[in-house]
Amino acid sequence: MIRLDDIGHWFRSERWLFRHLSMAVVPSEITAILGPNGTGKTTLLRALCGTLAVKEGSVHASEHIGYVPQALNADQAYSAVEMVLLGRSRFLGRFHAPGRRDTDRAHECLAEVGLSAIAEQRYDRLSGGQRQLVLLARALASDCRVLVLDEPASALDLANQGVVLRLIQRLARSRGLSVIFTTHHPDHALGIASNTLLMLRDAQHLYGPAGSVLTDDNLARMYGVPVRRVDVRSGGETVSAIVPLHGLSPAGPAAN
Amino acid sequence: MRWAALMWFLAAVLLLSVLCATASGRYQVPFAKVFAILAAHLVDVTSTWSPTDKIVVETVRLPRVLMAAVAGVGLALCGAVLQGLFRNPLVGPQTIGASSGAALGGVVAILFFGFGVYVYVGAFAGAALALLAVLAIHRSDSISPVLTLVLAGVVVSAFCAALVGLATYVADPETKLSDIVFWLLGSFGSATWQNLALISICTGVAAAVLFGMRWRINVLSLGDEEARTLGVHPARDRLILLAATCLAISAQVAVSGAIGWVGLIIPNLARMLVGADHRRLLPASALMGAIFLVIADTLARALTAAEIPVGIVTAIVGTPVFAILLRRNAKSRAT
Amino acid sequence: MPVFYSELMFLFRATLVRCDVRMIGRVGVTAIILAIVIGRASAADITDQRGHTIHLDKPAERTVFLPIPAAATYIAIDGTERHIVGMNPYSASAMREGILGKMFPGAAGISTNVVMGGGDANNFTPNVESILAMRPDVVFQWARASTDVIGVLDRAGLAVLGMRAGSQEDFAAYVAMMGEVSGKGERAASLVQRQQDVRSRIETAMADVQAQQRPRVMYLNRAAQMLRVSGKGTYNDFYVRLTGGQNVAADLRAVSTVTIEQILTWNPQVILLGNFDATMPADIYGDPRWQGVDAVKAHRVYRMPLGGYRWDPPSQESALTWIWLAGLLQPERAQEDLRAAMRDWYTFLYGHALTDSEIDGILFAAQNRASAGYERYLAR
Repeated sequence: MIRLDDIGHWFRSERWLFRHLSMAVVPSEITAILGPNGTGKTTLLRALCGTLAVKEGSVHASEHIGYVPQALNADQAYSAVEMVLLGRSRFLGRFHAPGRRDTDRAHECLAEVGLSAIAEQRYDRLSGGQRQLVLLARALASDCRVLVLDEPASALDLANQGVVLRLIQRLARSRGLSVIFTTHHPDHALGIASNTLLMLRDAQHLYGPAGSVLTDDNLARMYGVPVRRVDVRSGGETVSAIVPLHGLSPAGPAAN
Repeated sequence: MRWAALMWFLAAVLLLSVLCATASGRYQVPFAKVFAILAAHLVDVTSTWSPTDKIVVETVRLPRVLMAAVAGVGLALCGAVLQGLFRNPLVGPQTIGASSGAALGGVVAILFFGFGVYVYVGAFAGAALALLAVLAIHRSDSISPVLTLVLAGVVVSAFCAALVGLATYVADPETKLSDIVFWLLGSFGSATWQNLALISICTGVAAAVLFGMRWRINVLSLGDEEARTLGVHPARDRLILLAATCLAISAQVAVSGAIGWVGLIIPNLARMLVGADHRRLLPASALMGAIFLVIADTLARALTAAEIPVGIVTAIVGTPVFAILLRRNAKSRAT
Repeated sequence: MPVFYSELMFLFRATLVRCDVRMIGRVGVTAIILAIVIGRASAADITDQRGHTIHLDKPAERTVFLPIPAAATYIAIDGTERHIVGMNPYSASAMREGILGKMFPGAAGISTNVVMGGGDANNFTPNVESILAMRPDVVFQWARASTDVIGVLDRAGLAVLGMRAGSQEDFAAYVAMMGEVSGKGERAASLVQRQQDVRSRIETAMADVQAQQRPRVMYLNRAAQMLRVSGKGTYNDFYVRLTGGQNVAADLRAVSTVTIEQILTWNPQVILLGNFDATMPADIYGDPRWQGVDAVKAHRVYRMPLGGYRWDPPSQESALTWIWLAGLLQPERAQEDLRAAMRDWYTFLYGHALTDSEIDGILFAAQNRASAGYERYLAR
């Protein structure tokens, strides 16, 4: 469980990034954070992880937080299982190296994300999707109760986006993790999040259940682009999607 | 499995190199006699050698060869740790300015106190200050470009070298100057059992710390932000690691002057063989560094009647290897 | 006169071809003495050891010496230090540490700002502006091939005399030059003749020395951090052979750096420590790496004396060097009383009466007394 109490933060220019922000994520719950660039999503994540001290308010985390960064940076020459093993570091003293138990745990976590087959391959030789999953396994290996992910599906193709999101959902349910993730895709929030936080300009924000927060008006206000929520029936299920109305048409920009 | 086999192999090569080095030199002592002289400490062997043979092997050569090995261990370990800490394979004790700083500190100590214990202290202070200067120029944030670190090292090294030049200008020419100049060139020629003990202790302590923190170096090599999220305090760990590398580098410079290239190329070669995980990289680098410097020193002293400074031998071997590594680095980034 | 001159020169060159050292010595030096005497008539034109000629109207009042042994030799010939305005810092240090500074106290005030800094003992690059500021009548410099070292002085418009060292003939030639420059040509000739007399006596005494009776001698120019020896063609090599020894480093060129292993291979029987660093016999005896050397086992390591100048390079006191060394290398054949010879020479050179303690100081009696055979040089 992780709770933010009335937090606020600004940088050098004394321009508030967010203020009076309160939020709680209980076990098995998934919260999505959306917002255009520059609204403080990354700063909020750092505050959640505890690597940033907020100027106002407080962050309460009852357990260790597992952080999953974006898998952009591919210059680590360690093997996949070694990367996962790094997640065990918080249990190791300064002069200790991982033991048998740590290695077993690392393999378990790799198996949970379905990557046992590539355990010995070099991290920088894996695909984007695989790297993201390795980083997820790393966070799991730290025996965290809270999972914080930074745009976990943004750099991936459609298929891998689905893989990652389904995995997050499964982990939240089966392990009772509190999950927070940021995304640029409102569809992702609609798909798996119970609550959503919208970061707006001028330190404004909207927080609440995904269904009620992710309205056409709110999203249009946040992104500055009109959108339409569309529900699609597929195989007995209703899938929601957010369609941005950029004014594009196959024949060219709309004449005005 | 492969790694363990490689370690045993390297250890065997090191032992063989030390034996061959102890049997090489201008003064001819056959290999069998060398072996017998050494073995006589363990088992009863009838004496077939002259007292001078024994002096050459035990007092002139053996401390020197062992010192080269210890220095190789120290420099290679420091290079590996620095490359991991700064996430940059172009970093080494000399490119980060620590060797030049140690040389400057040593020269200042010699000017004021002569050759003695204060050289160690001076070298350590010099290395630490140079390293601080480099860190101040380069913000150790993960966003900074890799190039700034190398450039900062070049600048600090150049500054230290200029000050060393000034110090030699000012030095009392009758007593201190040529000795300083000769010391700066880098040589194991002044090796005795006493200063071997000193450098061994310093390098041993440093190696224990560095090897102990081998996993932490892995974590730190991800960058400060990620390291923090993994439950580690990067600043404190980095300080301990840098202090230990300063200790090893300054002890080596104090005893044998500035020797470059070992700390730069050996870890890169080791990484090609055993991978980037520092649990495997550190021991491999240490052994390979020892072997390299033992061979380099043997060449330096046995090729001609006069002694070639060992730093020249390591440079002659090191620079082309470094050029090749640069090319490979560029190619792998391009793919 | 010219005919006589060229016949002498022909004889000189002919003997060179035959490579008979003693013949060259005698003939060459005689030729030079004659040249000095003959040359007195044209004292205003002086030819140096490069073949360049300069013109002096009268004896020089302001002289500058870049080569290290030169200043002390000039003082001995000129009889005073007042005509020297610049000299090498290593010359100054020898005067300070040795007795010349006491005999000629004004020497302490002579400027040493004549070479470019970083004063390595092998650096003779002149500080041209500084020398020009001294307004010298004559500048003495090594006659090396490099124009940086001597040509630059010529181009600056100075009157430059190039010197060579390495053999007794070279020494005699530049002493002759100094005689002409100072107007004390007779004194210069006298100095050369006296040295020649001592040399002849020693050569006679050593005439029957067999090759195997010559001890293996090693001269160490430096022994502290690095080991530097003198090979063939050096002045050290010359007098080691003169006084009945053989130079272990004779195969190497002039000044070479060697390793301890090379020394152990040579295994010298006598070691001479030069005056360019502070190493004393006790340092060698106490060093474990040297224990295998014959010279250490037999306690035949000697610090070379420092008198009016260092006794290891060529100097006005070189005859004393030869007597000193002959007595250590071939004690039965060397009959001269060193202490008496020293008193005699110092009276001639400096007009100074040596005391016993001064002699002990010059001979490094305290540091050398533990070495074999040195009792003969200690005060009775």
